Amino acid sequence: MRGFLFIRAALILTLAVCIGPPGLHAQDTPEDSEGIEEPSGGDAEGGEKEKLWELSGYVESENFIMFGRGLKKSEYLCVSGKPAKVERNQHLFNKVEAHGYLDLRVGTDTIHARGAVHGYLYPTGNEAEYLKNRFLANELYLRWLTAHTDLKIGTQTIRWGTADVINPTSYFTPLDLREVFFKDEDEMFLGVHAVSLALLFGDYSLQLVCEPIASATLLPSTYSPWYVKLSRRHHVPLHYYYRAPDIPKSGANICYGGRFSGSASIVDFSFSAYRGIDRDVLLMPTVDIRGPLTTVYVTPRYRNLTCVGFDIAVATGDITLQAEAAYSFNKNGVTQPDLQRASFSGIEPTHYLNMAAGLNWLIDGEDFNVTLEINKSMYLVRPHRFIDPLISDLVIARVEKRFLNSSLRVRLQGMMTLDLDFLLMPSIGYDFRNGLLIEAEGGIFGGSPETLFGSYNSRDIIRVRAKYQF
Amino acid sequence: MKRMIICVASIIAGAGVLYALTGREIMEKSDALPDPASTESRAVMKIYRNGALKETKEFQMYSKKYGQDSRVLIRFIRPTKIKFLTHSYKSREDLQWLKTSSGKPKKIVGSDSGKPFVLSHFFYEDLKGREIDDYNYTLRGEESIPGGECYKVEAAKKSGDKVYDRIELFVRKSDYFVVRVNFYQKGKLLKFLTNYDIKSIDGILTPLRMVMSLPDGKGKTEITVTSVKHNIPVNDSLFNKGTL
Repeated sequence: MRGFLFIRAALILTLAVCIGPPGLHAQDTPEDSEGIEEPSGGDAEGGEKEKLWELSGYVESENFIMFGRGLKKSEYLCVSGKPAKVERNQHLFNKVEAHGYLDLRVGTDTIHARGAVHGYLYPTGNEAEYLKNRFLANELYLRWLTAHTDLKIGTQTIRWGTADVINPTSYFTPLDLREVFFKDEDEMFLGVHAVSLALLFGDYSLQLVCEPIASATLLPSTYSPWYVKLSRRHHVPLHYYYRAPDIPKSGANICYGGRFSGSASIVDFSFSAYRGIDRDVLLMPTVDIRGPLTTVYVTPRYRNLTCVGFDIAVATGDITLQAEAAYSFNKNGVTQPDLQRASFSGIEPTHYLNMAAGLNWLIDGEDFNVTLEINKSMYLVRPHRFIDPLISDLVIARVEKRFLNSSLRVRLQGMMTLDLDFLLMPSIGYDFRNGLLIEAEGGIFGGSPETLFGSYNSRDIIRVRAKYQF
Repeated sequence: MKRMIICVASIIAGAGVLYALTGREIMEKSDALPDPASTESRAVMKIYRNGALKETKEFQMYSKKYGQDSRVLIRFIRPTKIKFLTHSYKSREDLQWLKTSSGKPKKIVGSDSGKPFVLSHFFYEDLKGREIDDYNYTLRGEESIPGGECYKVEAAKKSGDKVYDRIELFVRKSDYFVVRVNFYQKGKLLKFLTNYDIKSIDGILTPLRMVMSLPDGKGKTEITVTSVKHNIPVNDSLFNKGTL
């Protein structure tokens, strides 16, 4: 026999883990609660299905202060062979952003509409001109939930996988990398226009998704302080040039996929498959001979692929272990140019594997925890002449400790590759427990200029923000 | 004659002892009170520290029994949107998932029993279901408290992790509902829970206000139920981690 012994009340109303014999009988109304206070108001009676009307959100001010050494003239961008200086360090604040977020649900628990919209406003006269005043709806859908189905129609984020930072099996979700990693989760992962149907069977579910119009990962614009700075190769100037996504057109841009997931004891697992646009952007070198100098521009390209994958999470003791992998037999890669033979880069399909594994370790509950993750992606054909994937061999670590009743949070997060380049993000924040949060975070890049993070080593920043949630 | 009176009195007293309830029997009666097969509720949690209101949280809760197991979904609505999904099993460890408003569902390990639940004065331990056989019970007398005439029963865990040395339960004589619980740690009173506004809702005795207080008066957590329904149809899909 098992039941509520001590705080039956709290159990009924909070976790309600009342395990007792089935077939309960409603007892007669007991005598009035003698000596106990009268109800304090509120509708505590049973009744009609409760209407859902939830509005929440936040407003925040987010500012970037860039304190890197600045760019050398040789690092200026070139447009048609002419250097175009990236204006930086002219203002103390390189980005002053007013950001609001509203999340509204209307309907019932069974059928409801949800809209989650970000609004961004940038005062003029600062370097945030690379980001325009805008609205962004990551969630704008209708949802119908029954005992065995979950249907969503509209714009939605579809995030698959168990890893914390980089999810090889999150095929559908494009990323907003316009500010590299200095985005919150609810901003970095973009919504897609899709129909999603999940069939639910106890501890198992099968989710089918169709995205009729593909969306692409967003990269920094050409004149952004976060433009992708590439190393010089083969003594030819290489410059990053952003252009609008060339998403495959006319029917080829339909993405679809499915994921079967389940739980067995302490293990969560899933198997997934996908066909559609590749979330990883190809950086394609193209030659421009119009200017006085022959210049190689690197422009983003988007191609389709087919993938299968799996993910797993195991919770044991104080640690949750997680791993996932995705394999594609037709992932497009960019081939190395062979300038001696006047052969430039091309795009060719090949076999590809992307893996991630990591853990969350709760050393002292939510007050002290550690996260580790390793990511590896590779072309499986050997030898190959593809340019290595932009993001691979990545080690991510995060240590977070909270003090003062969890109000003061200190966090150190780092990302490093096998090239020994790194991004270090120390952060400190204070939660006033009334909705107000203030936070300061550093972004320190290091490593050789030819490496992923090292290429940003003149762009260290401090990110300061105040956020009010309601 | 005097001896005879004493003898009769002894017999009556003996009979009284014979028919008095033991601590275990009282708790069995309390345990036998009807529990809901399912519940949907909404509540506001107010956390006070040093006499001042420090934090207000609002949450919805759905629960449902599955034989001897149960599933619970807690949706914190304010100030931060977080969902906790717990699958509780009679025969093995609970499974838990967490989803923040911006994240994807994450499998999490069971939280430390002696840790505060969402920074309140409730511990995770306080929110767990318990096996009646895991404790030894001793009746410590009867007491009249604001909730009514009560049996005072002391419970001590027989084995396993012990967050508390002992617990005192005040079981109302009229209906065997627990109206107050004193929690002792390291020999001292650590905190006490008081249930208020106890009503029969859908045939289930339900307190509409619960207060976990520190004995020094410097802190308390108050949960006020704004709506509750028992034994209603609750969608199974709410308890699937895929729908978080």
